[in-house]
Amino acid sequence: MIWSLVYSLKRLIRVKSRLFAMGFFLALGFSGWLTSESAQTSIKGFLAQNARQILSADLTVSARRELTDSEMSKLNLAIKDKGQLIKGYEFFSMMTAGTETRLVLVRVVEDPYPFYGELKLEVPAKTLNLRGQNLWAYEEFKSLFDLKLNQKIKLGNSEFVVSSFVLEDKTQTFRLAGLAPRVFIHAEDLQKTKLIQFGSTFTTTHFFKANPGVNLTELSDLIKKQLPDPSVDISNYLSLPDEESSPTQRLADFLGLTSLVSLLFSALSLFYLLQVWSLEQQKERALLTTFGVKRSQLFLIELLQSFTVAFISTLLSVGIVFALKPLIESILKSWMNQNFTLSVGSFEISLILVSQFILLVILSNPFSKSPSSSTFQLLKNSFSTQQAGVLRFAPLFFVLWPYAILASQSVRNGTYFFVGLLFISLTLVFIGRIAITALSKIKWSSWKSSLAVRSLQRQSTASWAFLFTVGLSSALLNLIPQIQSSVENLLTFNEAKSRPSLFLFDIQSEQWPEVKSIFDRINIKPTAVSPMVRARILKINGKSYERKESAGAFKSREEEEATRSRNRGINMTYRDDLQDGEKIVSGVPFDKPYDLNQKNVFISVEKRYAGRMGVDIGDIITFDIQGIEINAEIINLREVKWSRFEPNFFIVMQEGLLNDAPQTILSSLPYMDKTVKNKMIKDLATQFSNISVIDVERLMDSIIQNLEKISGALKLMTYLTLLTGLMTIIFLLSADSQRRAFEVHLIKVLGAHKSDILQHRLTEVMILGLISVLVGVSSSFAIAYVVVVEVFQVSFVPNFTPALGIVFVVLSICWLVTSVSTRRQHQMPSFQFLKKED
Amino acid sequence: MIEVKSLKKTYQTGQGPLEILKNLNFEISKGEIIAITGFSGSGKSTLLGLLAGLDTPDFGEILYDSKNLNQLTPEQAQKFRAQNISLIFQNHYLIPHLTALENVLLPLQILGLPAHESLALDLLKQVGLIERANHFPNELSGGEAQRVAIARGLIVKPMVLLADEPTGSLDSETGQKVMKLYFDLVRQHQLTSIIVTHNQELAKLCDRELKLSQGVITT
Repeated sequence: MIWSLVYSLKRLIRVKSRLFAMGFFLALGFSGWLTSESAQTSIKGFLAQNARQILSADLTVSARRELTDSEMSKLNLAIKDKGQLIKGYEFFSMMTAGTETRLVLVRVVEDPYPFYGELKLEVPAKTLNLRGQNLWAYEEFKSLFDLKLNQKIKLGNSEFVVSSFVLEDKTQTFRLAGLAPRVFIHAEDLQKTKLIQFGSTFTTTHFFKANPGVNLTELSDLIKKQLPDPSVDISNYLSLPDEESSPTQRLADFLGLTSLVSLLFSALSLFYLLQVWSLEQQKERALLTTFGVKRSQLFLIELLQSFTVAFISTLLSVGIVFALKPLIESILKSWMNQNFTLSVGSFEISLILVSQFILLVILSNPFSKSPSSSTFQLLKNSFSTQQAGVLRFAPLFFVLWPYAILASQSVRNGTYFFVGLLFISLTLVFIGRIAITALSKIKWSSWKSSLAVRSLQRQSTASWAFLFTVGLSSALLNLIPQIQSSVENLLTFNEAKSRPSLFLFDIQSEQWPEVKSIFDRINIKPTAVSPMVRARILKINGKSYERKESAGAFKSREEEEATRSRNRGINMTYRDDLQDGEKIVSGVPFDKPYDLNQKNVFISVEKRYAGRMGVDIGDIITFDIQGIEINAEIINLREVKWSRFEPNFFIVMQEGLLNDAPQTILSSLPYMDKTVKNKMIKDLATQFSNISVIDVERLMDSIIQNLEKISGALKLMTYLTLLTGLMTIIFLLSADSQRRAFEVHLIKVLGAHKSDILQHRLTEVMILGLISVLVGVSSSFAIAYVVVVEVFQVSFVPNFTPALGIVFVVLSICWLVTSVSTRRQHQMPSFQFLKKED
Repeated sequence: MIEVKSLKKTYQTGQGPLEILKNLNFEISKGEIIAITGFSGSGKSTLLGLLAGLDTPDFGEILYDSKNLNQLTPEQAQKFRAQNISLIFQNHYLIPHLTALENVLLPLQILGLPAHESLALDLLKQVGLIERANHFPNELSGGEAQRVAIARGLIVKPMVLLADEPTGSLDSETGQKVMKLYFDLVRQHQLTSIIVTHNQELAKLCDRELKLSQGVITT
């Protein structure tokens, strides 16, 4: 043990430059992951510290409906004498100020809202002062509406006076995809606005401030028991960090996967490095064996070396994250709307250290090659022997799979990512093998080409390491811009004409003829009209449908989605046919309207929603629709193209049963000129105060603005990945040149001119580079297509500029690094070099 | 045929300049086989590198048939070397991803001469390895690989064959066999050869021995 330790230390000191190189590549790869992990933990920490302010209460009970009398009395009974309860609403509405009319998010509050946190107002006031038709508006209204203090605005049927602007709202943490800015009015004034009518979309929230000593977890559990409907959400500030951080989690997942790409690059460099040094290491192991060193001692030496490299790399990773700290904090500030401090915790550091150690141990594979059997052979060989080919890369892939799942916190996304990489690798093997075999069949007139092709064909490990690294690097470098360009294309003006211009909701059935007449007056035909009926799921296959609580330390994104889907109210529509963006993927379509002889009414369920809910064709869902229990049988699963921005529903019922049920109407209008659109919005807002209109173009602007906010983080991670990828390629090429120095000098001694040698090396590297980069970039187009079409569900728009850029940059690097390193080798006298090798 | 006149070579070291070769003068006739012997550090390998045209002297001349190697341009020197001088090292230095036959053919290809497989096969036959023509270096024994290196050295029909410790990595029996073959082939092809060696038995087999000690020829 002591001997192993001493020997390891001596060895580490001797090969310190090599250790530093390994540590550096590991650090480059892991710093992205460390950044993403630290950011997530810091956000959760921030939320834990500010949870009461964000919730503005100790506990909230909310639903997208009014609680029933029975539910209210149960709630009151549960909280009796335990604290104070106030009520609030939140909904969208149209607000008119001067000539401008647009959608706003109205928060209706009672005294003394908020219990915790504060609304920092331009003109300080208390909620009590909101009474009497006063309104507080977010500061951004100043620019949106040119709104001024004491200006009169119209909300619903009532006029309000802007009595203050909200400069800071501690209850609003994430502003990533807000449909509209917020205004505050007092609950006493709500009645007059007539904004909440039957069928209106709104959220009711009951804010509760607990007396000292009340156990909130117990109280939450009690209320959850009393109000079993999953569509009623019960949150307390102790559980908030997990729930509230979800908006950033998707982004964090993406960042996690992007960081995984740089991790893969570093693993590839490391793997190649270890391959280059492996013969030397095997010889050392063999030599030590001849001195009687036990296998366990050899294993210990390897472990100690791996740990030291992991330790050096962890220090470097932390250093990189601290160097990027100001940049990351400014990005997080723009998401969180609050001052934010990034902290790198001991847990994250330990996680990185352990992960790096495991990765190194698996890659260096200390269990392989029992030295005893091949000692003589190893010591006898003077230089590199032929090594086994593609299979040597297998460990790398099996390490990657669990890492991908851990980084994305999703079995599905992690597996997709892994399968994608496997696809690229197999394509590289397949095409690479065919191309090299085809090239070797050609009778080359030049010895340089002939030698280059033979070297590619016969030096399998080196060729495959190069092919994988450059191919995967090129593929991954091209993947991010391809996905980004397709998603951005969806949001740009090019597709605007095919998208609806306005989206109307909360139209009462009796208002529809008049609304339609407004459309007719300007000769606009709605692109879609869908009735909407509210429902609650009571049972699935006769089993009571209750709130789902997730437990356990590791919660995958799939579980979180399933929990959210389940604990949500249902809006459904009815119709016979499919809309343009819909496709039945399994089961049969509705062939006729509902008739009374049918045992159950038929429904169609969106495929992913069905997956999250755990239902399939043939299952029976029991709904409560306006107090009536209805059994519905799933007869088909649909795919919906949500990106069309048309009224779409997770559940569609067969026509006939719901036609007379109380309902509201959703409609979308096609592209129209800006003046026509503004007039339409104004006419609708003037005549129908309860109808909300989403201006899709404005929504797109808002999404683009939000995307720009988060793009800082993505760009940072992409640049880090790019840097690692390029460093990997440069390193690989120079390591390859070093490895081939012997051959270069030998050919020189045999009479080749410097320029011939350079040409020979360039031929070899450029053939391999060209195969790798072309296969890598092409397969990344295929993967980007699948991701964009299947995951984002938008049409794929290939962007050839970054692809060509990557081909050019990678080939230029191949050319440059090979030229420089070969020229550098010429500086050393060949005879001396070969003598040294002796 | 080979004339070495006033040859000097000095290397810069951390402790100042180190004079390796001090004013060497000797001649070698056509077809002669010379052994250069001496202790480690006596300058044997430096001298061989200079004779091969792979290094340049600080002072003095090396003349091959009155042609001064140091007065040639780098391109001319490289071409002259490729056509007239072949080197054999202690380790065989075969390219690992080429077969024995391909290794033998390589110098011809580099020189842009027609790569006659029959010529290479004939040489492999002469070194007793015709059966192993399509084997890779890692499939050959040390002695076999060295014999392939000898065949490779002969394929361009050089004027001079330089060998640096050609038996250094071989056992005594294999070494003797390889050297017997070497001498037979050098004589059969009427080549001039310079062999750097520690091996006194090998030196005795040569026509003449030049002993180097501290940068000067002592015999």
